[in-house]
Amino acid sequence: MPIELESVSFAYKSADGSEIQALRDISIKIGDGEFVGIMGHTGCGKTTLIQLMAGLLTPVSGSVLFDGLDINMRDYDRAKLREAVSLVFQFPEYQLFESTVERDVAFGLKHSRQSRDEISERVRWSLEIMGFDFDLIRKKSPLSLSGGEKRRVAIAGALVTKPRYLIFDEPIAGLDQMSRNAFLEIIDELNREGTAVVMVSHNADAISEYCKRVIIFSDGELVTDGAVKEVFSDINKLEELYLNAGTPRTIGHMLSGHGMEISDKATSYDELLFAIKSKLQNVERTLH
Amino acid sequence: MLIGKFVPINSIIHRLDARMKIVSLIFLLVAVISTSTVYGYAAIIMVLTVIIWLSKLSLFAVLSPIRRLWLFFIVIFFMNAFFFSSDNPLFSWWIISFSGEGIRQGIKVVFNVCVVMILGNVLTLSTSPIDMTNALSSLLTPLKLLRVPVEDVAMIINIAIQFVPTILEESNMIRKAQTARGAHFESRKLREKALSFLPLLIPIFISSFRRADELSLAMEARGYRNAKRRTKKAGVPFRVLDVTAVAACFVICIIQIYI
Amino acid sequence: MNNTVHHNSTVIHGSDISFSYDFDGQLSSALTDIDIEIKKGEFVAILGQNGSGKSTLAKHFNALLPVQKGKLTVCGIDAKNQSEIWRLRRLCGMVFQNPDNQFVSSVIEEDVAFGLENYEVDRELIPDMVENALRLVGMSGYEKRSPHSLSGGQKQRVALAGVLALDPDIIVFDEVTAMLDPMGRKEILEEIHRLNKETGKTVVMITHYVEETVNADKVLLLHNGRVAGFGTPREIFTNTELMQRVGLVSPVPVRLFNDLKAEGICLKSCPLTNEELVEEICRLS
Repeated sequence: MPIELESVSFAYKSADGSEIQALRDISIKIGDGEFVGIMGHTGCGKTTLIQLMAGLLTPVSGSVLFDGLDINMRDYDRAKLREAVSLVFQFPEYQLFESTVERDVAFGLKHSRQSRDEISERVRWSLEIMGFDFDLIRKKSPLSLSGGEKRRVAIAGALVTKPRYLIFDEPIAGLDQMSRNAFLEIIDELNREGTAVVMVSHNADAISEYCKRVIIFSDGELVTDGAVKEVFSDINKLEELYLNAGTPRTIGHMLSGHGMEISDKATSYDELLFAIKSKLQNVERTLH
Repeated sequence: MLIGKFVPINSIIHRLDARMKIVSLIFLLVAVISTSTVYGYAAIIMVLTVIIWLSKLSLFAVLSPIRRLWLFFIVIFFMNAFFFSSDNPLFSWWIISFSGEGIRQGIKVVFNVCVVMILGNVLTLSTSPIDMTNALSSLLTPLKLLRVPVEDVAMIINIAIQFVPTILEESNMIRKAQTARGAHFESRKLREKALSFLPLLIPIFISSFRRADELSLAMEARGYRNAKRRTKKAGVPFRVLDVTAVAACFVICIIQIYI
Repeated sequence: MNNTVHHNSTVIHGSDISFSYDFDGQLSSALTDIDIEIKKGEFVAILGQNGSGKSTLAKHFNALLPVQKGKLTVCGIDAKNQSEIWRLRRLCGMVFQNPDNQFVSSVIEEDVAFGLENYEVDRELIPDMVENALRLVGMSGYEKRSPHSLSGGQKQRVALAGVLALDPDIIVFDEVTAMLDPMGRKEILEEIHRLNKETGKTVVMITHYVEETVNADKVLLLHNGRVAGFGTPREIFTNTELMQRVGLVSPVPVRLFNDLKAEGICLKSCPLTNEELVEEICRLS
């Protein structure tokens, strides 16, 4: 069952008391098992949107439904939402606070009714997904880890409730290439096993490579919502919004401009390589 | 926010010498504390209105600490109203006694705290951090006789004030992040309530230390040794405006004390 | 202004530099036997994964970290010489990663003046120097604003102005793009390149983004605290074996060059940027 936003608007008060409209009349439905990328410039309302989805903010108008129920109704059971929808903030490594990694990851299950063994098993499961050896890491202090390790521990803490929806705010910001790829592979695997993933990111390459659907915001309004291939093939529209279409698509577009027709559907590295290869081989064939 | 972030606009209050603003603030505080008559309060409110008007600051910004702490004011009002021991209470039960004097006392305390906050807020909203630092170190100069490193203390105060908004913003973020992980900040039991703040306090602590560490490196990289070895600010002579302002505040203070 | 840049004199010269952090008596090695030579006016990128020792090395250049072993000379000053530290820091400025943690004042002109005041520059001279520095980074008109009201890229430009005000010979940029969005990254990168070209200041840029280093004069590749390679971007990125060993992926044009070669299609020379790639491919077709 999906997360649904029905004509949601949100505004907050600035320091001098004036109202600032952060989101205007947004309707989105995100279904089970989807992999959605959210793009837009800083201040376009992306972060506000995912906080609304996780019930951390209440819309000024419109409603947010989860499994068909309005999460902002007084009698709605928030605990259920917290378990099914995990929101990982930007730089989640800054929220670690327990004395050991094991305790920190288990924090999300603190109020659950599971037995000690079940909790321990869950913690092991989520740390192993994030690439840790449970027995080696469990007793370490989160503060003694490196930046990349801390972030993985923090994400394990979001996985521990086995959420059906995982929402990330800029999860790969500041990571180096290796950690970035490792992270994206893990998330992709989780998605293939059925977890829905929503990822806010500035990284067009990551979105075009991994997401299936992309939603674009500009100044608090939804401007595009569609399959990744469709959205990234329309490079002119992205350029109008000053957004990047990812390196492969950009190169393909530049080549087309220089007389070498590259399909606008070539948005990934492999597709671009194949397109260039077949064009150049054709040229050689006609030459010989 | 309890302490405002400097709003750079051009007003008489902004142009006043920071040292004189601090001295005037102290005179006005003494005036408020010594007030006991209705006319006194009316005069104070008038002075406040004039100051806020002259500062060209938005009323919303100036009053924002009051707005945020309304619950605190209600509590201190009732604390005073109920627990003020009086000879002729209207109503009395156990240690609680309710009297006219108590209510008056409650109003007086709330009024005083409000005025202190508004004046402090106007001061920080209208004075740039470096001006504030220099003014503080200049006013604290006598402490040098006691070997207090006055310039360093002033620099510390300035930086601390500067980081308040950043850290408040960050704590708001961490609070949301921990709520998303299932933290309950609204528990009723005192012990649980205290413990429930650890997921908030520990990350803020760690982050503040990290910030302090990075800032100190950035300061050293730009040649900071200690506050003493820096270009001295001009010994700006007080202008007529500055002197008039202090004199006015002093007169208000004296009148309030003796009437 | 003198536009001829002399690429001959060495401004940073380090040999055999090693450094270990001390965690409660446990030594953890961060740098081992680093040799480095940077010439005046050069744009040198120090590239490596997180934890490869990039920032540790950078903090040696302005003596924020002491030279434990080896020798380091910056602008002719021995970095071990305690009495010269302040002169060294004035000649070798540094901009940091987190734009929010390097401002000492919430008014931009006061912040830019901070360094000048630390060097006890005459009060009368400061306003002009501040104005000049802000103009150099294209932030004139923001004197009275608060850094907190700016975008990430603008904040880093103001931080750069604070360093430029002291007119250093070398500027070290320690992962200044890491916390910015793509627009901010582009903005500050262009600013750094322009500064290097127009003023001839030596630039040392620390980063883990391979794409950001393609326009540098030289790339110093760090891996596990050791120098894994030092050369032009082309020399480094076309060395597939080296890139794989240090766990970095070459820029897309270089990967395409290599993969096309494997298919029997040879471009004349290896492109580094998208523009070069397009040019090379069009030459074939």
